[in-house]
Amino acid sequence: MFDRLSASIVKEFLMFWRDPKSRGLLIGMPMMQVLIFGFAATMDVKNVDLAIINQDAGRWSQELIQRASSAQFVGSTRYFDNMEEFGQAIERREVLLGLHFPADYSRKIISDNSGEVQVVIDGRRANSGQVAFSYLSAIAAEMDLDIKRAQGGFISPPVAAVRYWFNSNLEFRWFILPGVVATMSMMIALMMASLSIARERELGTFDQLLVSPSSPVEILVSKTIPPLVGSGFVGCLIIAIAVFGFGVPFQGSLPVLIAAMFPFVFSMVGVGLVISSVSNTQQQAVLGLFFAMMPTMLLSGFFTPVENMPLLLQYVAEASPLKHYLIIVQGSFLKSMPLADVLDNVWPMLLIGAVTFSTAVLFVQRRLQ
Amino acid sequence: MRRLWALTKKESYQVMRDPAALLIAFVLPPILLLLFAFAMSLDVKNVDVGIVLENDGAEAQSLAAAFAATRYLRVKPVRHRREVERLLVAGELKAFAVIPADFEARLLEGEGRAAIQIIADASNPNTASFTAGYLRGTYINWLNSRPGAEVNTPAISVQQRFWFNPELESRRMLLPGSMAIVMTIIGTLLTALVMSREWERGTMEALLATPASMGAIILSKLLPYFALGTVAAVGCAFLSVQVLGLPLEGSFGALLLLSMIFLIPALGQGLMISSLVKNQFLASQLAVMTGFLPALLLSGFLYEIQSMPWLLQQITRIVPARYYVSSLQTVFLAGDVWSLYLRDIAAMLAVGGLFFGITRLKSKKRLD
Repeated sequence: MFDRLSASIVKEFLMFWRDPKSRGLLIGMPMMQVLIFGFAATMDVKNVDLAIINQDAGRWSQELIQRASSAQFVGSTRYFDNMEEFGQAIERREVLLGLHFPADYSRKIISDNSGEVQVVIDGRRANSGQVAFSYLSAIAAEMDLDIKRAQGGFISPPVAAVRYWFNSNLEFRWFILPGVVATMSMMIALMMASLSIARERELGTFDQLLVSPSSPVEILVSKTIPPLVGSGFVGCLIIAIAVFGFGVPFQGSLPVLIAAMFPFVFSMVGVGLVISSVSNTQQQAVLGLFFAMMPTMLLSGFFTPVENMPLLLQYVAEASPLKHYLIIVQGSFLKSMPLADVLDNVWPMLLIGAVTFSTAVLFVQRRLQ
Repeated sequence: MRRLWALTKKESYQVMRDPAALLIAFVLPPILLLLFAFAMSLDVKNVDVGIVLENDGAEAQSLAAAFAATRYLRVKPVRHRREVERLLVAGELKAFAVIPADFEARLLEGEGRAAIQIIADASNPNTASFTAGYLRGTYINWLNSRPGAEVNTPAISVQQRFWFNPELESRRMLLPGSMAIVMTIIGTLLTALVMSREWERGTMEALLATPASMGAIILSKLLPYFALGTVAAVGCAFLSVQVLGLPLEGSFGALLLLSMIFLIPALGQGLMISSLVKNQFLASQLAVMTGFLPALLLSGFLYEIQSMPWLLQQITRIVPARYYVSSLQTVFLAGDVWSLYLRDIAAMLAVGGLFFGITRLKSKKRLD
């Protein structure tokens, strides 16, 4: 039986490896992903197009405009005479936000310390708008302190000291690249597994497999190994790029992280094999893959934290292997997560893998009868 | 023309017979939209935060109560720093604030010296900066509301107003983007598979042997998916507006027009992929890599294009979803801005032309 199994594993590997284009993809796709994620995924806001609508003739509006337009996050500054013109520009997405000074702005600062400036933000891009607004309010707060100091006799209150652990400069890349390790391993595992049986079925070679002396379990095990190796390889490649290429610190234990990769990939391959065993064509398998991949990704906490979701979805998220693996990967990179916490997240993945894998065996068996 | 009609009919039957295709048009879009609407929330809430009280005085208690009363935080009182440090590593707490033993003395001192310490888990930088900012804001409000404390009103107050999305619901920003993703899956991914399927099965030879021209063969394959995509777009829009509470400030006609125009580059990209690789496995990988992921990451729907490095910004110019997202956000949230639509439509047509041009160069009617 072992001979038979190893022979079919070799066959599965050859089927994949024979094709130079799929070999190229195994390297090319993760590289491209890492580059896109490494450079595109940023919550920093830069090159902002700022609009100024100044109806105030005093010196305080000029002061704030000076400070704002020379700030690092501002790319260009445009002046508008009235709100109508500004409205047209913001509608056409030519500016992200506008600073509007009412006519009595400077006068009110001098008379009763209550100058009010309005920031109008394009709500279609509320994410970056909010960040840009927080930069602007920091600039205003700084100017505010300067005004008070100039007036004399001012003592600023005791502050709160803020420290960020594990990532003291709030580098978004340090958060996203460990996540890419997990999502890419997932995608490779899902794709290779979900197309494997579907392709044989479409080409008609699956029936030949079924009449061979291999049992359904053997067939599935031989189909599990290539995605396992492929996505393990991709995972390690991305870890290397993240650490050596992008300088993401790796605090935890590499052997533990790599060991945890196996239950994760196993659970995803199980999902892929279920999809594959119910699909008649590769097109259907790709579709099934999206059905499985989108919830797994969206509920994992990769894009938005799980705590933000409605309670019901938080329970559903427990069934996403990616959620558990993300905790392990991010913990291993930045926090040197203790083994006990890692194991807490390993057993749910094993459970999911066992369920999906036996479902796949069941489906293939039913096919036999 | 009659030939084209016959071929289109054949292809349409093939699509209709395949339950998967109908699943795509009618089941996938609502599921994806619902997921995006409910799972993807950028509105931070229920953040677990620890408060370390090393001081039992009245001031310290009152500040701890102020933290406990906030809307967005779930506060857990803790006695010792050691304990919270472990919880922070385990991810059970996102941040903690320390009210030190000499808190009252520090309060009196002022100027420069920190009265409390806030420590946030920055392994997720977004949550960390939000949580730390919120804790600090709560502390400052508490300071200013203390009886007898000199009220520290700022001389300049900065008001924010969000046009087109006054309540700042992240759902309103995300739904137009997720619609673009659904349409990319239908347009690019599925067409990439249709053509490569013919090659892989060897039925392409049979088609090539017919008197139909290459253009007619291609067009007949695209038309059913064009129809499917249009139906999906209408379905998505209906669900978003009627069920998920997205406003439709612009006109329905503009929405339909934009969606149909977007399908041209989307289908063109799928076609181009399948003419480059004649194998479904590779085609699906390429479609995910060059179609789906750019639509998710480079379309400006999750990450701001202007903040990306220059080279990536140039690459986003050939991502059709970029223009579709920009127009969709406008038609749903802002109203009809035809100067913006026309710019985006021209760009989508140009990108579509590029993709079809490459396909034409690559697919001569011959067998090799």
